[in-house]
Parts: sequence; structure tokens; C-alpha cells
Amino acid sequence: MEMPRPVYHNQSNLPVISHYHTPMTDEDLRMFALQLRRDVIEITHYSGTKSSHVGGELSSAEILAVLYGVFLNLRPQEPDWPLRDVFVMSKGHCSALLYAAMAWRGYFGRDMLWNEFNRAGGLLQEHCNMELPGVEAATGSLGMGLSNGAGYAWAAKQHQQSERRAYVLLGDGECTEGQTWEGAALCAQWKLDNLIALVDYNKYIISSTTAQVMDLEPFEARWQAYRWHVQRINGQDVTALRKAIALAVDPKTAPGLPRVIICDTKKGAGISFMEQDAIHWHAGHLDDALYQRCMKELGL
Amino acid sequence: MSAKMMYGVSLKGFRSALADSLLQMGEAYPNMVVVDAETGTATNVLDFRDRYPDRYVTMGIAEQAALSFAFALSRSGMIPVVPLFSCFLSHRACDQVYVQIGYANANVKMIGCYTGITTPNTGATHQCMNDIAILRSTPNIRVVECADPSELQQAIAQAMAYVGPVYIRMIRGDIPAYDHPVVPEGHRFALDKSTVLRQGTDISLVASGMMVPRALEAAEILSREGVSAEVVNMTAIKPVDEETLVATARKTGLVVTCENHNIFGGVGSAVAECLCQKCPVPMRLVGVRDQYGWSGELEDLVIMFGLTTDEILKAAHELLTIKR
Repeated sequence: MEMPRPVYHNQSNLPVISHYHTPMTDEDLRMFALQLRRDVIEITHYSGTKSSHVGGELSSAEILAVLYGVFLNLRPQEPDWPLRDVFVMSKGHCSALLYAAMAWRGYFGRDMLWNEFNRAGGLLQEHCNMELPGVEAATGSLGMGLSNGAGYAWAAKQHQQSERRAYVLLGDGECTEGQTWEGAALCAQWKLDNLIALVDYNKYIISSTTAQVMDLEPFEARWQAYRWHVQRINGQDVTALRKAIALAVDPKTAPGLPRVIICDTKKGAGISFMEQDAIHWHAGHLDDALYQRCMKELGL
Repeated sequence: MSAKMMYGVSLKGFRSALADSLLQMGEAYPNMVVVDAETGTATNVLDFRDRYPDRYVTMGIAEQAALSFAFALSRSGMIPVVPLFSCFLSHRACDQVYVQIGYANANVKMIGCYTGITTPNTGATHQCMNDIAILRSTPNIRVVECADPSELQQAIAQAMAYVGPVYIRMIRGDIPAYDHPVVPEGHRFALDKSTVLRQGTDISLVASGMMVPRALEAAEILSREGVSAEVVNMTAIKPVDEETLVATARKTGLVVTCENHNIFGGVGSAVAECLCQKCPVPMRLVGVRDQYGWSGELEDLVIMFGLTTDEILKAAHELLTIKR
């Protein structure tokens, strides 16, 4: 559908505190995660609907900071570069966080973040889609990402592209989808040790805690039973993330096993009133007062 | 074509054509990959596996994963072909088809096997009566159905050459009645063209797939009654070939559609959507009347579901009465 791109002139008035550069120290990554959080709050505030799925975006901030800051081998000017690493945002409702990270890697200008999110004709839609170069799968209907990652990883093996990795970020909620486990079985069957799944285990599904709705535990054992190499870490700790992903990337680690890193996180991480009331911050609207309150908590 | 046996039934016609086509395309396209979900024995695609083991991959019985996986292959320099039972492709994996094939405009070739009532020994769970309705209402996806095995082979070749998602609808074709050629020698198939197989002036019979030979038979009977019937082989289901449909409607002023599919949302609906806007004429829709399938002898099912030459004649006579 041909829609005219919207013309707005929203701008961020906030100072930039971090940006993508290389190499990044752990302190750089902590600041990068904080920058991504600020971006998410701003995108939400400036969005056409004044909303985004902010709770799960905040819980994934460190994961995206470490992936986009350290590990993903990309050519933003050539989004379909055949030798790129692939990142599939399977929890596709957390798109604003992905867009912020992509902007820092240079896929598009940051002005798009403030002017094209949730606006008719804007390229940044609430759920990831293929109209935006650099997005690797249309997601949002949950549970599909691991099968996508399996396809990318299988193709990379077929093409003997041993340096390439496929990364998939799953929400804990979508681990209640059947297709997630179809994907888990595929990855093990074809020994896709070039695939790294990360689960943002923020313990909340939409209506309640994941444990109350559909308990995933014993979560590590489930992945192990599917013949995966399993790590479990604090997903808000960039040092731990970096170490775990480096181990997962190393082909000498558990050859033949796909890798999963279960990241224990907090929904709404970084914003105290969201952390304390996570059930109501799966998605949220940020009016001016709430926006100011968020920014204050994020160091302004 | 190779005629081998499967479960005591000779694999001829459409299924044999599919196997041969995949082998030919596999040779022509080194980047073609067949993604299966354990229907390969029945759909007869295992010759491809045996010839190109590195380019055949099965998901287990996991159709949703198959479509999502195929999408990723299409983004990795490959052309995935996904031959599945049409019901499991269009029903079980409907969301994946919508979000990851259609919405993503992915270069994936989907082959819906065993459509309509043509898998007689299975029944309602396997007899897909609404795949056209589902695929046709999914933007970006081209939908075609062929009248005979040779046309199917052309369709597969054209789909491979085209960049974008295509759904090819085929019947289980190990039935002697469907082994005969329907389209004339030298017939050239195109993804967006339907063809007039028999010229006529009094009434148009617009048929798809297995109903084409029945429409031709009906036209023959009508001619003995002094009625000149035109027969259109409606291969282009989406987008419809407006030019051919409008031309035949304008010429005869009466249209009967014939399909191995629910009349709600299928070929008849597609023709009606086109003609009511471009050239409204009285119509009758022959096809499955909003029913679930049944298991039984195929020839009994054909009668039970009204997919016979007689039904076409009945509809034609009704319309001709209006005209007079």
C-alpha cells in the first residue's frame, strides 16, 4: 500500500549520553543500555499513539545493547549483505527498542524515531515488519521467530558461512506458544550450533505472572530436554550477557547444540513505577507528566 | 512420467507431474530447496529428496515451522518450495502464511496438494474446501490452479521464474479420469492468464482444476441441445484475468462457475467480484455448498458434493431459461 510518509518535525531535546562505537567497554554498554531506555521512552512519548509495548522493551535493553553494541556483524548501508549476522526480534511487539538500536547502528536517521513510530505511512510500526530494511522477520504474531532463526541458521550452514550467527530474542510469554517448541526441536535436530536464542525472562505474560498463567519451570531443564546448550544469567547485567554470548558464539562450546541464554530480567526495568506495577506496563501510554517522571528516573 | 506405487495406488497424473517438475526445477535452480512437513510420501516429492538430499528438509509434522522456516530461506539466497496438504498449509499455518509469506512478500512457492474432495479416503479434516478463500484474501500472494498435469508442470516452472509468493492448487490426481490431457498441445500457461478452451456464444462455463474436464463435457452435451457454450479454464484465480472474464461474459451474457471448493470465497466468488463491477451478468455457482468433507469412494463423493457434469448442466439450463 502506498501511503505518503508522514511529515513531522519532532526532535529529541535530550543530550546523547552514549552511542554505538567499537570497541565498547562494559561501562560503555551500561550507558548504551541507558541510552536505549531513554530512546524507548522518547519514541513512546512521540509516537502517533503515545504508546508502545514499553514494559518488555525496558527489560530487554541490556540484551539489545550487548548484541547491537558488541556482537552483531552488520552492514547497515547494505542491509541484506549475505554474510551479515541475523537478529530476529521474535517478541515483535518490542519494536521501539529494536528501532533505537538500529538507528544507532546507522540503518536510518534518529529523527525517524520521533516522527514515524505508529503513524499512518510511517516506516516504524508497532510490530516489526519487512518494509523496514534491516528487519529480518515480520513478527508480533508470537512464536514464529525461532523457526525463522532456524531457517537462517540452516541456510548459513548450507552455504558454509561459518562466521555467521542467527540470534533470536524470545519473550517468556511466547514460550507458551507451540511453534516456539517446534522451532526448538528443529534447531536441535539439525545441530544448529550457529543459532543463539535469548529469552527475556521478565516473568510477566500479559495478564499476570508467567508462573501463574502457564509456568515455564523447570525452564532450563525444558531446553536441555530439547538438546540445547543452556545458560541462565542476570539479563540486566551487561558483563554477564557479554560473557554468556561470547561462550555461545564460540564453536568449541558444545559443538552441535543450539544455544539458549535464559536472561532473568525485570519487566519495566529502569523505571521504578513500572517495575512495581509490571502487570499494567506490558504496553503503556506516556503523557507529559509520566514522560517527565520516566526521564527523571533515567538520570535527567 | 514415472508411475510408481504408493499404498497400493499408482502414482500418475498430477502427483507424478509434481515429482517430475520438482526434479527439473531442482536442476534448473541450484538454489531451490523443498521444505516438507511429512506429507512428502503422499505428495510424491521424495524423489527430490533422493536426488538432492542437501536441498530437501523436513520439519517433522510442523507446518507452522515449515512456513516460517521457508521465509528465512527466501531471505538467504534460496527459493523454497513448500508442498503440503492444502488444509494444513492454509488452515494450520494460516497465520504464518499471512504474516511471514504474504505480508513479507516472500519468494516462497507454496503447493497446496489434495485440495477439495480429491483425497476421498480421508474425509473432512483433510479435504480442503476453503484454501482459495484464505489464500485469495491474503495480499501479495498469487493463486493458480491447473486443469491437467502438463499445465501444472508449466505452472511450477512459471512460479519459479516469478519473484514473489505463489500458491499452486492441485488435486490428488491418481484417478484415471484425470490422467487425460485437458489443455490442447502447445498451450502456453501464464500466471495471470486464464484461457478459453472452447469457443461459444450462448453461455460461459468458467471452471478451475478438476472441474474443467467436466465443464468441457457439459459443453459437448449442450451443443447437442443446440446451445453453444464457451469454456474458460480459470487458472488465474488471483489476480483474476479480468480481460478474459469480461470478454466471455460480454459475449454470452450468462456465466456458470465450477469449482472443487466451497462456493463461498472460491472461484465463483472471484468471478462474481470481477463481473459485478465490470460486466454484470446472471450467474450460477457450482461447487461445494458450504459443507465439510466426507470419506468415501471418490465417484460417490463427487455426486454427494455436487461436482458433476449434471450439476453444471442443471445450472446452465436454469440460466438459459432466464435468457429466453
